[in-house]
Amino acid sequence: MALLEVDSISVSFGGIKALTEVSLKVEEGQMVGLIGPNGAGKSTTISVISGLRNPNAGKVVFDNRNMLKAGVHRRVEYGMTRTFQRLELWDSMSVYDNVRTAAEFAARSRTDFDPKQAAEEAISELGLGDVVEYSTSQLPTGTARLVEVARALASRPKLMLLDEPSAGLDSTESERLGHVLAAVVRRGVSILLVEHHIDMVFQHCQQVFVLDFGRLIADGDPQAVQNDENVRAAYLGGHHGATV
Amino acid sequence: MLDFITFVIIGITTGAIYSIAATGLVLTYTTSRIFNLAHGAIGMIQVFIYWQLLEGWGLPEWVALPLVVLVIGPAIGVLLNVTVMQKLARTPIALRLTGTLAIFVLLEGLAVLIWKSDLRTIPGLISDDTFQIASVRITWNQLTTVIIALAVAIALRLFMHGTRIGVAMRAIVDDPALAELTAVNPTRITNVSWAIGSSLAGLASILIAPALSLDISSLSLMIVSAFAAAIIGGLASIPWTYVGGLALGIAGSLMTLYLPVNNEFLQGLAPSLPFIILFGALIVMRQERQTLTAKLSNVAVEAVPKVKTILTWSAILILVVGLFAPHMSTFVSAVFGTGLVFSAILVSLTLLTGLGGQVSLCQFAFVGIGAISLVHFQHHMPYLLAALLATLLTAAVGAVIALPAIRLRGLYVALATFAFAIMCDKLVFASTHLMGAAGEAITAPDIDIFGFKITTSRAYVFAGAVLVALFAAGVQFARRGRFGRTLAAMRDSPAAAAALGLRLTRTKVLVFALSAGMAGLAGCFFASMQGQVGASQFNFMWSLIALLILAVQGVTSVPGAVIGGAMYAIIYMMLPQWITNAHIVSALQPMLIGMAVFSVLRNPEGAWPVQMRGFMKLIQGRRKPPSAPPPDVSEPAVKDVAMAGGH
Repeated sequence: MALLEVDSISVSFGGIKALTEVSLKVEEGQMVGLIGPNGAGKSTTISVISGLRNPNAGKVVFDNRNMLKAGVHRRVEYGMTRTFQRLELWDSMSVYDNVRTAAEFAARSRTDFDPKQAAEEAISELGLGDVVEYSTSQLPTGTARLVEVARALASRPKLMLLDEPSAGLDSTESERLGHVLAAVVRRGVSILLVEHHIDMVFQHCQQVFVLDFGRLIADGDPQAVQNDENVRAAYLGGHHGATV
Repeated sequence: MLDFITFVIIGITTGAIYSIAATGLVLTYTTSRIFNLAHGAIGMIQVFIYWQLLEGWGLPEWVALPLVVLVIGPAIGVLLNVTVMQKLARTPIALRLTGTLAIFVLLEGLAVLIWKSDLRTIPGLISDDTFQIASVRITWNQLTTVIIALAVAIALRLFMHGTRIGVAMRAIVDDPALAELTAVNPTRITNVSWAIGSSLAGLASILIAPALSLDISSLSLMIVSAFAAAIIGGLASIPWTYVGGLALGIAGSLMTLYLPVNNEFLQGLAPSLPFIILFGALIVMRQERQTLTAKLSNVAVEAVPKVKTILTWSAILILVVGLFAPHMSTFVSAVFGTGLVFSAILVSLTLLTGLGGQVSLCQFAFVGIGAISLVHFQHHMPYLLAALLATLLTAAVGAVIALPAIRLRGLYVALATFAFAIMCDKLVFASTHLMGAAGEAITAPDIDIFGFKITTSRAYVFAGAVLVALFAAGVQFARRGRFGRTLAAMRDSPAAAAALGLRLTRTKVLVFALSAGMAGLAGCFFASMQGQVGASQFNFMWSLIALLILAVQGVTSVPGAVIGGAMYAIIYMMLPQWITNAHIVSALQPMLIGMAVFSVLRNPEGAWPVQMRGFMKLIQGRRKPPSAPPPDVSEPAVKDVAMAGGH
């Protein structure tokens, strides 16, 4: 049984279908990519998995538990955290307090770790040691993205849902982030990575799912997906800035 | 049966007026996302202008009415939109509400200034003569009102479906993002909607005024019925808003017919109906989980102070007041005492609204519940126990008020607290069982802790300083710890807080209970200091004034809250000493506060943090270098970047 199983979820806003029967899987210890053109439904998928949005149909199974009735905070207790595409840092606090508070939230329902230690480890893993004292509102976007990832990591998750962690980073920065994430995965944490930056996905992910207009159009290992006709069509048809 | 039909007709008439007012509210809310708490006050000012034209200057009705509804009303709406609302629309929800509240008190002050508080009446539009349909008597005024309401509904429908700007407005209602695609200038859309909204507020007020007389506050409050109707319409559907308005009118009218006259509580129920419905609708209302991501406030927050700073300032407050208190005259000690109680209440509001991000428009209802409970409990137990129980009871009430907050976003929480404040005015503070007969004040006991009594007004000033120091230090210490970080996380980004494992519900209920408990304790102190408890001390207006003063000082600033007490004392206790004309004073008081809010709106941190920063700069000079920008750790090294640029 995979760590995360998303089973044909559908979401509609008003009359518009944002997701149509999307299914995907994340195995334990894998980094899985979720890509697709703008408005393909990637962020909506993450919101459904993390519980911020209810699906109209379908189910989400995480660690052999049905998540449909589980509240947002409960999913963290089970070992799932996320970052946000639009930065959602707690801007009145320092970088250190951001990460520590996230660790404390998770530690309220789990006794298996010390929040302070978890926070410090996450900070050093993402190389944020030099900025811990600064308020997150002072940070450049690139650094702020890393704080989001550190915050998600500090709750010692089994699965991290990362919503475009490299948005706003230049190519060197994203390359470095890719290596940090790969190291995290080697420690046994699974990652579902939504990315615009496709190089990062093809370089580090073992499995890739492609969404277009709210439907899954392809999945498989990076090689197979890169050669998929549907994927090429979706990306070439009007989407720019990315080459497959 | 005849009675029944007659009262249904009365209900339909009143309901039709609610519907007209509520439609205006929904229209402005949907196009600009500002829930206009001043909607009623905008209508009120138009009734007074109408009275001026009609009775003051003797214009005929057929000139005065169109002039107000079609020219002056829309002009007021456009003026408000251009000067205030467009700016407000870009601020967080807490500021949007505060801004409309400031307009509310400004208009009230303006009305008092121009027209004084004399009793005035205006006649109905046609006449109170009746005609008869199958033995049911109907007045011509009732018939006209219903016809006007129908005409408004039809005209609006034609406008929304038949004109380009109307279609654009409907598009925004369905999806704000669509607005950009309609190619209609957004300023024009909001101008038109505020013009219509303001005009409908005026029309509704003119229609209801003959029944209410020209009373400033009851006209401004008529709008709560419109709030309830608008909520029934989901703040979006105009037909459902009409249905809601009619249902409210009919239910209210039938309640006056069937509820027993000799039961005081049940009699209070009819005028509280809109609030009960509003509160109930808020509790049962469904809401999408996604709205979690709506931030309640993103106002800059004052830095968490060091332990030494907290202790020093608390000690200074107690020492300075302790030094001066023994030399105060009775009047001066009353000013200081009341100011300090107000400071304590503002600190409780800072915790809830500034730090917890939950807008409360009922802080004085909590104060009143604390005060009244103390008076009744101490008949049966020692003072200390009574005060403790009163505090706990108020905290429990606070937790219940937080119920709608569990699933709803900022606006609805604020409305629920507003509804609660007015419900308390009508059901609790007006009750002859709880208060004295015929609205008299009830006697409150002096503070008595294990035989140690506080009796003189000077001693109360000193005790007040201790209370404020305890509250302020308590909140500041809480901010330093885990609870403070939890509140900061919930306020800064509720979505991230939930997605990282915080139970938002529990935290919201907790902070509501804590804040209410503090306000309840301040109420106990207030009652003992005054020696009595009167209903008017807890009037909902005080809750609004408290929020406005806090906004001026900075909602997240604890020192600002303490200073806010002084602002209250100066405006409400010293001003009447300096200006002897009572009517000018009562007009100036709300206007000063309203204007102060607008002066700081550009700087939502509030006056205190800004002044403090200037002050620190002055005393520190250049000793402290400005804090350096953080190093960008996402860039590995300059060398690497140069290489990346190369390929």
